[in-house]
Order: sequence, then C-alpha cells, then structure tokens
Amino acid sequence: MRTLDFWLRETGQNLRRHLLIAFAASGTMLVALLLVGSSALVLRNIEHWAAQAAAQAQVSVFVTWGSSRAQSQALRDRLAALPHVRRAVLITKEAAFRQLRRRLGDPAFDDLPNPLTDSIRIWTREPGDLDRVARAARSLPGVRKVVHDSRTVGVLTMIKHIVILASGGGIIFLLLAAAFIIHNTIRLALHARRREIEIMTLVGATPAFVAGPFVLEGAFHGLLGALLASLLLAGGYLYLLSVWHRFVPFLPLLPGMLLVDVAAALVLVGLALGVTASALSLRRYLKRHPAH
Amino acid sequence: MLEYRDVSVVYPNGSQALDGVDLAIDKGEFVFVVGRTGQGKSTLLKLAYREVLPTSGQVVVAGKDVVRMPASRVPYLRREIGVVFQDFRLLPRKTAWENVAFALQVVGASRREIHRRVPELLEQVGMAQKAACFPPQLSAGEQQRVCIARALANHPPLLLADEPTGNLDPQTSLETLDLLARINLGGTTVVMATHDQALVNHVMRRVIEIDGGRVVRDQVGGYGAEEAGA
Repeated sequence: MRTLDFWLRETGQNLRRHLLIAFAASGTMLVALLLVGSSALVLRNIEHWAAQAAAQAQVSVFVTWGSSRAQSQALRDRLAALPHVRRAVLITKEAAFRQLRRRLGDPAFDDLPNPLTDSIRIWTREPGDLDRVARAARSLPGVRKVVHDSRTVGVLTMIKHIVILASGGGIIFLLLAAAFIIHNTIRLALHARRREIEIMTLVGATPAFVAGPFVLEGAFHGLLGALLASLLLAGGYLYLLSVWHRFVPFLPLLPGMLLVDVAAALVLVGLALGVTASALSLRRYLKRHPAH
Repeated sequence: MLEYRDVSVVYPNGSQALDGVDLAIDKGEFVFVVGRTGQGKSTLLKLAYREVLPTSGQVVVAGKDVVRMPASRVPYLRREIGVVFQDFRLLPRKTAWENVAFALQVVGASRREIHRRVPELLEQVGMAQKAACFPPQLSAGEQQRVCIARALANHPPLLLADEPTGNLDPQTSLETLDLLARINLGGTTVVMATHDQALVNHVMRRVIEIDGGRVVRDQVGGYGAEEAGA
C-alpha cells in the first residue's frame, strides 16, 4: 500500500511535469483505439447482418407444369434427402397464389385463374451451400426452374473483408505509433529522473520498485486513451442507433450493449500496449544502467 | 566488516584501477583511504556497494561475498551501506527533509517511521532548522550534512564517504570530519576517501594509501608526524 502510494505520487508528479508529452501519448492511443473500436463495431454489425441473411437464404425449386401433388411431394422428399439441406417445405400452388393475391392487394386479381405451379422451398445448412444445392436440384427430374439468391450473403462477406483489409493496416500502424510514443515518453521520463533513479538504487530500492512509477505511467496513457476512445465511440454509436432506423430500416443495428464488450476490449488493448511499451523502455534503460 | 581479497579491477577501456588489493577493515573502525586523484580510491569504495565488479578477487561485506551475490540481493546489500558523495547528489526539487525521507520511502518505510526518523537524522547532522530548505538554498557544507543524514537513514553499519570534503572550505571540511567521527563513535564503520593530508592528521586514525592501484601504506595514527609537517 505504501509502495503504491509512493508510485502514484511519483507518476502524478511526472505526468504534471511533462504534460504536453503525456497529452501526445494518450492522444495517439486515443486515435488508434478509436479506429480499432469503430472497426470492431462495423464488423460486428456486418457479421450480424450476414448471419441474418444467411438464415434467410433459401433455394426455390419449381416443379414442371402439370405435375401431380404426389409428384411434388416425392420431389420434396428427394430434395430433403440431398446433402447440405437443412429443411425442405412444399408450397402448394394454391398457397402460393393466395400469398401472391394478398401481396398484390387488388381485388381485380381475385377472379384470375391460378398461373402457378407447386414449389419447394429449401434452407441449407450453411449459406455457402446454396449454389451446390441449387445445382443438385436442377439435375433432378420433374424440376422446371431453380431460383436462389446467394448475392446478399456474398456482398456482406465482401464488405466485411474490405473493412478488415482497409482498417487492418491503419490499425496496426496507429497502434505501433501509439506504442512508440509511449515508449519514448517513458524514455524521456527515465532520462529526466535519472538522478532519482540513481539515488533510489544506491539506497537499496529494488528494480521492481524503481520500475513501478514508469509502468504505471505507461498503463495510465493506455487506459486514458482507451477510456476516451470508448466514450467517443459510445456517444457516436448511441446517436447512430437513434437515427439509423429512419435511413436503413431493413438492416437494424445491434443494440448498445455491444459497446460494453468493445470498451472492455479497448481497455485491455490500451493497458497491454501501455505496459509493454514502458516495460521495453525500462529494459533498455536498466541494461545501460545496471545495478550489477 | 569489509574485506578485499586479492582484488584487481581493469576497466573496459584497459586502465587498471586496482591491482591485487588485500585489505580488511574491522567493525567500528574509522579508516582514511588516501592517494592522488585517479589512483583507485573511488573504485575501492564502489566495489563495496557493487557499483563496480572486480575483474578478479573477492569483496566481502559483513560476511557476504559481494561478487558472487545474485543481482536480486544487491538492493538489500546497499541498505546496509550508507554512501556520501563529493557532489552530494541531492534532489534539487525536494527539500532537505524530503531528500532524507526519500531514502526511507524507497525501502518501504511506513509514514510513521519516516516522520519519526527524518527529524532525528536532521538533528543528528545539525540541520533540523533547515529541514524545509531546498538544496540550492543551502551552503555546500549544509548540503553535505543532508547527504550524510540520507546515508544514515537506514541505520547502515558501514558508511562510505567518497571525497566528502572535496567541495568544502577547510573549516567546513573539519566540521564534516568531526560529524563523521561522531557517527563512528556510535559504532558505524566509516571509510573515507580523501586526498587532504591535514584532514587525515586531524583525527589520527588508520590510513590506507593507494598508488597505481596498489596499497602502498596501511598504518594507524594518520600520516605520521614527520610527513604531516612535510
């Protein structure tokens, strides 16, 4: 407790003494973690949308004209037995026509004869199986037409990869820059306090005791950057949540609870980077100034 | 208390600081280490608190082999040795009180212990009245007293003073020497490196002279009357 008290006072003193440098170190960490956090939010939402689209993705198989109900039923059974098929449901032409009339909503269509055929709706186990199952269905006898939409999942997956590629380089660069600035900040602090360190080691302070305030300072920069980045992200995301449904109602965003996970991850990344950067500075300094 | 067994030190630049030194300093002794600048006096002292490692030989402090000691034990060795420097090495942004307290803080002393011990130490060196002064506000002699108080903070049985009067006028030098002699009377072993002959003859204690890295004199009673007069 006494040691922690001493460390905190020493750290506070050093931060006050080099306010501008401290500001630069925490600021860079803030920008880097802001980019990490926003990328994480975008990716989590895209993954969510892709999963939703995948759950809805299906293949529609239309039977040949004039097929009997028993033939449609037999085709459904064959389709259900195909590999990668999760579920296959027969949609009778009567049910499909009722649905169509409901969708069109105009009573003028009520008197028209039913132009449809029976169809079978298939859900696959994985979204990637859509093409394979559609190909297999086409080769079966009694099949007139096979319709499926694998584009939505494909487009979302592509956007996800673009986001990872575009932000990945920037994130790595900014995180390295933040770590480098913290590393140099601690080096400056070590240089500024070389006299104190020399006296500390002479009167019998352990290396861990000497290192304490500097590790704390690195952790402080990481933590401050992470907390500020989390606050900004939370503000931005909550605002986006309040207006998003007006512009993109068909793709709902994940609820704000997601921010808790992202903030926790940012704090961990910030702390780890800050502590590692300062530990590297200390190692270098202690190598040059050994206590023998 | 302090023993050197066939100790040699060659620095990385090739200069030989000590050459086969054999010495034993007993508990409670007051010893002067004398010699011209650059003859190995400071190296001899630095070996004791492992600021320097010997190229060969053995250094023993209070029964502990300093050379073979693992690095993790060095801080604990240093808590048993007080060191006083020619240039004082005080922290300019800390008051006299804080400079002394610093030595106690870094070894984990409690706040109560610090508040009890610091005034006691400042009193012992005659600096109680100037506890709130910063080093630049103190004279050289006063700064050296604060430095001595700091060196005594952890009750070290051994006090090493490396040219403690090098920056002081003759009168202040004598006062500092008297202070060290008083500390010695309390049972602390004192080893003081100096090149001031007058000072050595002022208290007439054991004198070890180093020349070219070798011990060329080891006698009790100062330099001796004939040389003091020379």
